[in-house]
Amino acid sequence: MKGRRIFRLVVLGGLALLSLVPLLWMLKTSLRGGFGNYSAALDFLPEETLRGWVFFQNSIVVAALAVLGAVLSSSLVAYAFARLQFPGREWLFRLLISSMLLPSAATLMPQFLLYRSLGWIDSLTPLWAPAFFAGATNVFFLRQVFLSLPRELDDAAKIDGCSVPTTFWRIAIPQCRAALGAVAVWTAVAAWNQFTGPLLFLNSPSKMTLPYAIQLYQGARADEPELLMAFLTMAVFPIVLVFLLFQKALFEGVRFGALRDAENTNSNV
Amino acid sequence: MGKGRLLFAIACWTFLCFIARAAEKIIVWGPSLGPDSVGMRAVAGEFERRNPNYRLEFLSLGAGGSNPQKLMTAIVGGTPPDVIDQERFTLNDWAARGAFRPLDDLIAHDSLQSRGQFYDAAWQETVWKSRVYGIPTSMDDRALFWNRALFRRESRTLRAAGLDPTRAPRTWSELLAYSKALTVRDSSGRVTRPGFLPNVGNSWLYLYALENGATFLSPDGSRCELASSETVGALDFLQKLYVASGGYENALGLAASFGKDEADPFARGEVAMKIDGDWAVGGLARYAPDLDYGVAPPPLPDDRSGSSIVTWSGGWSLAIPRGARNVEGAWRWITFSTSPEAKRIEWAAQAEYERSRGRPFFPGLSARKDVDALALAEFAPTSPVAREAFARFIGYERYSQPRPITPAAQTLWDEQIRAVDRAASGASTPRRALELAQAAVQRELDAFARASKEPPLDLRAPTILGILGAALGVVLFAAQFPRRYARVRAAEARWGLVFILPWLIGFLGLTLGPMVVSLYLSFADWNALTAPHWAGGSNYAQLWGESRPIFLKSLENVAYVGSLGVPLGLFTSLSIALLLHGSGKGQKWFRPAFVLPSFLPSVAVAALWLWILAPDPARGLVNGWLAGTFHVSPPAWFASRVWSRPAIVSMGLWGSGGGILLWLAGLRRISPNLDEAAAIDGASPWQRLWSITLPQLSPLVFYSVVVGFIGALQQFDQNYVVTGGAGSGPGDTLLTPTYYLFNAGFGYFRIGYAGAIGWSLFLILLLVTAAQFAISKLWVRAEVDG
Repeated sequence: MKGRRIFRLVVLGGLALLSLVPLLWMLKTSLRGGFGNYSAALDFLPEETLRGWVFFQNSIVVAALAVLGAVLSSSLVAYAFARLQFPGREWLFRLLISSMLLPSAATLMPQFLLYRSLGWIDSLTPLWAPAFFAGATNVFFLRQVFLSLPRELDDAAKIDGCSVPTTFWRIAIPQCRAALGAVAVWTAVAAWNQFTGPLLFLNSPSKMTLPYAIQLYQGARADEPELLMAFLTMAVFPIVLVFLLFQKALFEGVRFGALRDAENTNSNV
Repeated sequence: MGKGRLLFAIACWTFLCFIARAAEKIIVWGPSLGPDSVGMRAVAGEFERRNPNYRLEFLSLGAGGSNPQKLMTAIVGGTPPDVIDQERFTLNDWAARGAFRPLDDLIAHDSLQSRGQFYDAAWQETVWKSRVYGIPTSMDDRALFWNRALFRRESRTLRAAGLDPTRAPRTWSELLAYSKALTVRDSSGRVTRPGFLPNVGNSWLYLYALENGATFLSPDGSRCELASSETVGALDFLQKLYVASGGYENALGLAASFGKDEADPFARGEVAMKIDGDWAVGGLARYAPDLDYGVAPPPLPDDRSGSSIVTWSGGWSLAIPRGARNVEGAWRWITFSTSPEAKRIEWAAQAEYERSRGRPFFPGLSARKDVDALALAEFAPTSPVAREAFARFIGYERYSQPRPITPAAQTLWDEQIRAVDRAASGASTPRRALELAQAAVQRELDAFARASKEPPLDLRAPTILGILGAALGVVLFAAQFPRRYARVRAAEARWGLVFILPWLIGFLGLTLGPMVVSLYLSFADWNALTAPHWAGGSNYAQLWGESRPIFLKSLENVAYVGSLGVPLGLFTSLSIALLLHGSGKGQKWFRPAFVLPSFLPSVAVAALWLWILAPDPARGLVNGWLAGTFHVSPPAWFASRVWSRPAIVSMGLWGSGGGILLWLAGLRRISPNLDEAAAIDGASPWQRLWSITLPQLSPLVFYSVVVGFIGALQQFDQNYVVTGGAGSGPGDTLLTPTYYLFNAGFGYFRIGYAGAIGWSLFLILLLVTAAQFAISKLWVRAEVDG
């Protein structure tokens, strides 16, 4: 039994190393010729981006606002679908699930025209504003979480004469902090990583986000792997940090709710 | 109070400054300004010194004239630059769509623009419906480079083949003969040094077709004649050239493995001849100053030999997009920066800079004769070989022809490339390939003709109707409300509706609304700049008619990647999850290593993977390993039509670790009792896995398959990055439906056509998912507890 266990660990260790090889290679290539690559990689960037700091700043703004919007809006909507009786609840929820099947590309063009008429082109707004309108996946996930909470507390609050918003805010929200944390982390990662939005809506270097900058950098410096890898290392570092810090929350979040999502796909659609 | 007022005053002042500064800005897109762009900076500095009220702002990152999607999006979005550095042959395309501003009024006011100084080939390209849309800047023509030293070394071989080693080939059959004689193969018969490869350097089908007397378009420009016998003959010849040097697939691999600069294949004698542009002279002067080579006119078809030189030229121009805020400043910059005076400032500064770095300076050809004369007199390369080559290139300029001048120029260009690829790879005959290309171009020409005939469409009525309809729905819904709900529940129901408002508004405004709008517009032709026209079902007819092959190809690509990548990803992540699940504390330590890659930006992963799978074994991680360990010649991955999709799959596999989280959560929920009971009954670990664990996980597997396929069908980011934004890849193997939509929508702003693609995609996705649900009844274990 013990031998088997050690064997298992060795295999896992080997696979884990294999999985990290690309990142290690990136690091190694970025250091070919010394640390100078890191500052040289930033020299190329346009002046107004303050050596790339502006990209970083923009990405943070987008991610922070998206997290705020997603957590607020999707917890409200999910709570309503899980706990409140209102006309049309069932078919509205079905609509919500079906909307997950829509290819996002199909709505890009009209969305662009909408943002144009709102004067949002070449601004960060279209990158975070949609998060305030409760994405279907998050609602789906949080609804499962709210459903799994005991109803007794809700009912007690109702008997005590608490209004719906108070019950939501005082009773329901504190019980699912872990799940909200998971929503926050993956919204942050998704917002940080998004590429199509910046590609379509941004023009000025001073408005660009990090992933878009990566693509432009990659295109412009196609033949200098050392510089590109140095740039990539710097761009990827914050994500690695966030991931390592919050991976436990993510794991718990998935365990808590996503699982039920997945299993209920059959019965709900 | 005093403080507040002061703050207010400061705020106003800052605001005014901002406004004032904004008005002076001239935003220029295109020129890539790096630390080496000393000449350009000198000109900009001189301009700002002479015009202190203007400030130039160059956008050097990402939005150059070579990124049409970006420019079009900015123009339609109302945030265009003031000046755009635009490749000249596409000017008509943009002008016809109303995207650029005609310059005639500015030219009329200005005596600086001396029309006579421009080469005809360059000026013709700027004119659309007898109005001028750009001022030509650079010019580049094509000629044959031949490695004189290599010819000398191989003189015996050449003589044996009856060829003269002291001169370049002049006719097509000579070019073939020289290429065959100079091609070197290894012991296994694989070509290691081709004599001549059409895909090395810069010639394209256009060159061979022009030499063969092709015109591409009917004289009035209304019909595309890409499948004419002249062009078919040229494509036949191209195919022969590929065959002579080891076949097309081998040529693609070789071209992908060739380096640049110092490692340029011509400079290193890895190809004996190439057809390339004048800029190659500059590269050779810098990286191979001792190379003994010659430049000659491109060889002509045998029956046309002896007639005058035939070549084509391209180049760039400065244009002003529609909606530019600072037209006056833009025009000042255009006239100044193209003048011989500015060129002298630019070149003097740049030459000085290059000298200080110990590098030779190469000025490049201009679309103006007086600037060319200046270059030859004062800035020509010093080495005799390079000087001679430079002078010859300038001499060929007046014989050069522009690319076909038509609003469909970009499509024509893309299609001729695609036709060569189709024919050379054997996917179809040259004639068939060109007929397909011709049909695609013709369709676009017809759309232009049709758009000017159909009456414009008024979008106001449907918009108002839509808003009224939505309002009516809300009213009807609200009217029913009190009747169906008792008073006790009414408060909860009201809150319920308030709570779901964020989603409801988002769904109506960002999903359902856009879907309905795009359905409506899919029956119209509209580019968001000119008036929309009713188009009936023509967008769908095109998608499922002429464009079906390319659309199906994109679907095939995602189906390939999905059906290979989804099961592989499932298998890998599930196996790792099973290993992790049974490893106790090890799980905590190893889990992050597997999951981390799935959290990285897809763009960063693609940029990294592009280098990990770089074809050159000296630079790419995987190919270095393959070549070093197995001594095989490794695949060219993203540059190979066979390996490009497996490369995408491998990249996806690396990022599939996110699924591990789901599996681990699922495994934890399986009751250990069942497993233990089976173990006591003597079931082997494999039996338990197969009959207990996997059935319990089957709903999760199903979920992952559905989500995986939805994701695969929508691939975009990574394909965009690995193809450098071109989106198609070798033999269109990296084209995805989403990219196809994106290009139609944002590259050409064919909003109607993009809508037709979007709706078709939606229906396909619906069918695929419905099919998966139907099949799932057979293998997914029904949930007991829900």
